Amino acid sequence: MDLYCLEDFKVEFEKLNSKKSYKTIEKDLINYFFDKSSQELSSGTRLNNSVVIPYIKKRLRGSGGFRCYYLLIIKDDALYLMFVHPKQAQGALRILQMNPKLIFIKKF
Amino acid sequence: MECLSNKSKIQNTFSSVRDFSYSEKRNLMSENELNNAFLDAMLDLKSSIKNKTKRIFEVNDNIEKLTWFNDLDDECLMLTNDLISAAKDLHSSLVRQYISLDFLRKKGVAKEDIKEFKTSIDELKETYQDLESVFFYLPEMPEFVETTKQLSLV
Repeated sequence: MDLYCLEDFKVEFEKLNSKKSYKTIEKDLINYFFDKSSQELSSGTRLNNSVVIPYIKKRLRGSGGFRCYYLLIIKDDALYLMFVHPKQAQGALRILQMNPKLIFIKKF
Repeated sequence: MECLSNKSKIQNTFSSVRDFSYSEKRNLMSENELNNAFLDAMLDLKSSIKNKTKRIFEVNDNIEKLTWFNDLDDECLMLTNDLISAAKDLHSSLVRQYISLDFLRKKGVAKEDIKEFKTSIDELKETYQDLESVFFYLPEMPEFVETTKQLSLV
């Protein structure tokens, strides 16, 4: 599985990773995404009703818990990390306004 | 005669002290029993919260899995709509239960169990809201549907 990430994801990840309260994020993401098949990663909430390119919201436990949004391109065996935010989102209004469920439209 | 009367008084006093002492010892045991009963009740409460939390997480997982179903017909969508309403109703009841438990959490009783219970309730809300988005809101957004369609063709 090839893993890619969008700039939005990278920005949010770096913000969270620099905070003590979200220190497990890097480990949580590696544990969940690395060395997994597309079948194993086809879990969580599928947002776009697609069999071939499911857009997925995954709840990851960890310190406080995270929500990760990713697009799985099954035929290419590729995964695009689109966005991540903490469950108890600091700046929740900003994240609400971004509406992670719709980032998928804005970026493609 | 007086001596007998004194003896009787002493005996009476002795008897009352002995009874009192015995009864206090018995009461002390009752207190232990009371403490044990209280601790048992607390363990029962913790276990009940844990079981309920586990059940809520299972419900959440089951709701989440429904988002992987394809091509639901009207009947299935109507059932899904009923499920969302039932989940909202369940959420309201659970929030009321959480509020009634919150004073215990604030006193440090079953703190972690109550916190996890709250997490499961929050996730229930998130899960039924996501289910509603997946089957009722997002498919009504032409841009969202079109993007999925375009990406499938690539």
